[in-house]
Amino acid sequence: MTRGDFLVTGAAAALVAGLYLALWDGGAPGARARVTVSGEAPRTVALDRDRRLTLDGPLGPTTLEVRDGRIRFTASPCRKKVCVRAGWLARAGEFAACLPNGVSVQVLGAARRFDAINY
Amino acid sequence: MAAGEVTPGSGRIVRPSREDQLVAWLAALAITVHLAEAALPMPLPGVKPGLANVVTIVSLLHLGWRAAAWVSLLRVLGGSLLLGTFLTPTFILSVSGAAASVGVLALAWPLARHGLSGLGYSVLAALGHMGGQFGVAFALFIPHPAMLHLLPILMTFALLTGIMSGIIATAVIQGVRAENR
Repeated sequence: MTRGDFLVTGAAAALVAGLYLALWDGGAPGARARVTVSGEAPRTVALDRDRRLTLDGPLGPTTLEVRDGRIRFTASPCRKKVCVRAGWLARAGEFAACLPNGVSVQVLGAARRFDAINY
Repeated sequence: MAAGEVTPGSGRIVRPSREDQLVAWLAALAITVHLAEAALPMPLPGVKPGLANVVTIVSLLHLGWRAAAWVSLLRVLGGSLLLGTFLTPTFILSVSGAAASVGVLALAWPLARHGLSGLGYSVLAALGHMGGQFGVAFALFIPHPAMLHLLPILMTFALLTGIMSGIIATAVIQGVRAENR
């Protein structure tokens, strides 16, 4: 263990700490969300105005709430309520869906990119 | 790699130098470690002990940067052929990680005079490996902003495994030097 090793390890630890500070700021807030009901064209919902939306899926009405720049599922006629438990979506890229009722919500960021690419 | 000797008159017979043979032995050792490690289940994708890094660092300190680069890249090539991942995304990630760590070592190697030992090089190589691998993964396979949240965690593991393999490399080098004395 030399002085150089101490310096390098210290600098590496500082770099890692810096990465936490730089990348764990929660991501960019989203201004819009894309709401999709299966079989219909997706629509874009602005998140700057508080309101409630009711969407009709195959099982019945799903309600969404927009408040303080966030969006969430408040009710859906599905069994497991995975969509409601997903809670508030605020950051670009965040996504929730009620698959039984075919409703999905994704917060849009500045640049729309792919989730993942598989070959 | 050190140029082999060319025997005049009898066609071109390239005789591997002593260093070539050492590189081949070290690469074989690294491939063995690589395979053993591939069999271990890991809790998080992209995280593994990186013990093959030990062999790269030992090569670096004994034979220099070029030998370390050969050992590292031969390890990825040989390991992927044996694991059946040659030319798959896994292989691409492996190559980019190895290339980045070798690149970082190439930059750091002239600093040897300023007193870096196996530990320092190992930490640099580990961070370089993870950084290069993550960069390629992000650019080619999963360009999703959420991926960036994973980077600090992965780099933390890279730092820890770098320190760990650095300690092992230092012990190995001391052992080899005691043996040669």
